[in-house]
Amino acid sequence: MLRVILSVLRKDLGLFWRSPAVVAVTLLPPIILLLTLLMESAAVGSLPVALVSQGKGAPAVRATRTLAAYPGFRAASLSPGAAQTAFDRLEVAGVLTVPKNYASTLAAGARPTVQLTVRNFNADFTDDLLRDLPDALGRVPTPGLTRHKGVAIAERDLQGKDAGFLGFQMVAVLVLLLLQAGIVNAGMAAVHEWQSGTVKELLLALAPAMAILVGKVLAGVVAADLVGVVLGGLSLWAGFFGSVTPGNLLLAFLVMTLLSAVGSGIGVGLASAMRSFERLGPASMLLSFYLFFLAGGIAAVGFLPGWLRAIAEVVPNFYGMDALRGLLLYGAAPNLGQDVLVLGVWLALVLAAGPSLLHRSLTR
Amino acid sequence: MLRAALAVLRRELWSGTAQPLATILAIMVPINFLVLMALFALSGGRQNVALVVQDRGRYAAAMAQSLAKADTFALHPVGTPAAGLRLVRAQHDVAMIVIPRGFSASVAAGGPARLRLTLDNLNHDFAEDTRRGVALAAALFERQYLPASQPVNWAVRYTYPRTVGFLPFLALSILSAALLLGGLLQGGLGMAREWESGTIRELMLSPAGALPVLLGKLFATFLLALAGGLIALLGALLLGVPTQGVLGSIGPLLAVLLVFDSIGLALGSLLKSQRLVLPLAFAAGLPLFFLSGPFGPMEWSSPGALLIARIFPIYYASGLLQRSFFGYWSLAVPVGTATLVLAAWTVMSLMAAGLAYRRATAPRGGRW
Repeated sequence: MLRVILSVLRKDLGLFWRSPAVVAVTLLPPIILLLTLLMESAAVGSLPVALVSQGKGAPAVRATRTLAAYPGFRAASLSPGAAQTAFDRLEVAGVLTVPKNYASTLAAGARPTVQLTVRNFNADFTDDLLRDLPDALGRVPTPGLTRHKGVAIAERDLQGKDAGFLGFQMVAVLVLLLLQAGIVNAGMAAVHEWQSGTVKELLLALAPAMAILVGKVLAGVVAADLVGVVLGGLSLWAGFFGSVTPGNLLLAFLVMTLLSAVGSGIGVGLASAMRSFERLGPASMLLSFYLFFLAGGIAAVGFLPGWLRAIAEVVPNFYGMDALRGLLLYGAAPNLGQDVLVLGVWLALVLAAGPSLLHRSLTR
Repeated sequence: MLRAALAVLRRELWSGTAQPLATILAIMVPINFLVLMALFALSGGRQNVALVVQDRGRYAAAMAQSLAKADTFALHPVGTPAAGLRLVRAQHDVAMIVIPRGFSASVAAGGPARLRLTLDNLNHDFAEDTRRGVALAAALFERQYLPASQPVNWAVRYTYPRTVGFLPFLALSILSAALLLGGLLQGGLGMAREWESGTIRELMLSPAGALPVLLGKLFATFLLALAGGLIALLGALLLGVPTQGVLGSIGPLLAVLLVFDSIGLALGSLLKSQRLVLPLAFAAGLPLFFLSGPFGPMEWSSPGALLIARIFPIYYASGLLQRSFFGYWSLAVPVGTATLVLAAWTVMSLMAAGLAYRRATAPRGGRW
């Protein structure tokens, strides 16, 4: 049986390696996505605003400096005219104006009003600016003024540290690509048997169908793991995951392999059902994307509506994502046992269904 | 020339009906992309937050209202902090906010009052949204009930009378990406199939030149992609894109479809393999979706991202569609420039497809 598995593995990997274009297509998506996320990350969390200080005197200067240093804004101090030009040219999302009477109003014991002019293209970033403004104004020092304490927020975080935007997204992208590479590559290699007519020889041979299936799944796993190692290695090298212990890296590789195996098993099953590239191609791509987004995609599951959360909990990559995020980002995966168990059950189900699918497709 | 183009168009449509499943799948892919991206968008709305109100006083109720007014949370009441913590740990909720006993009494005494926030800080970006959302709710509350704690007031002036919601805004980027994917798949797979099956030789042997063949294929692709595009448009309308922009959007929508179909033809002509076109189209779909400015203008992103976005037609296509549906222009380049860039992409794509066709028909060393 082992000989059969190795023969199928060698044959399918040979198909993969002999086509540099297919290797490129397998590796290109992670590299493109990595570059896109790198660019996106530069702008995440802060919006460009123009800061206009019309007020004179120390209080206005203090307010302007505080607003300019606020991390939620990418603020540039500009004259009123330059700010208007920057606003008109869409260089900034809003203009913050510290009024002329800022110091005198404060001195009179009243509250000066800082104005935000916002280009409200959509509610998302408009709300971001509106959330930032009170927080930024709350940091403006007002010496000489008795400042009463209002509502204090006592925060308790569940994770030791916030994971960075890029690291968090990269794990999701890694999971998508493992799944996609597994489904697509194993599916393509399997459907090749139907298109070239070699499937009959393969299934009429004395080799057990399970051995053929395992060989094909293993070939898909090697191809998918290659993608995972390249993307994961690049992310690790770039520091997106922070420092990861060798033990956690090893566990992460095992989870990746399990996920690739589930993906490859699904790919072979799908190929047996579809038996043509024209049908398999779009179907396998769509399936991997559906599985990805039904498990929360690049977001945290707590952001999803209840019905989608319920679906996420039966999708295999949800568990892969949970385990990989724990191991690579937070130093520990408290649900690792459950995650591996669910992925193992999925793999067993896929492998159990495989041989009958292969034979059924042959007898049709 | 027109007769030849029409003949190619008829032949293409006929071959589409000969492979109905593949055609239906290719039409359905953009719609599926729309559904997938809508699933993605669902996670970008409000955060699920468990709210535990332990205080019965009026200020606690007012604080709960301020939390709801912060436009950040989907709040749901939970009986005890322990129950709320379970939901956060199980990733059902992003955070738990507790308004503790004595909150109202502290406010009545002039402050300070205390809120407790338990946060699953999986990601800095999401965690900061929650933190600032709670801070905004506290500021809104203080503004009304504890004004002495806020020495500086704020006022907001909006540029447009109506703020487009997160989902409708995102829906247009999704629609642009779905149209792009549809064009790449319909044009690319159709053309690659010709090369793979060798039927392109029949076309080359015919007296018709490259142009009628390409135009015929382009219009056939356009008609097939239009079916998917119209269903995708319907999906975008269901996601909240205003219907009053539909009539005005017909022109830009058809123009954008033509651009993307031309690129698809070029891709299929250059790669000549369905096995390459398909993953490349999908691989390009997601990054290009991000470069279309799905969350806000790319001008507010990093300079590198803006530079790259301006190379690709989806950036301009998305701007044109936003103009039609939302009535504002969200790109820093003028409308005319955007239109010219899209036209240039179309011409260059058709030239690339034509070049591939001509190179294949050109005699080499005395042989065809």
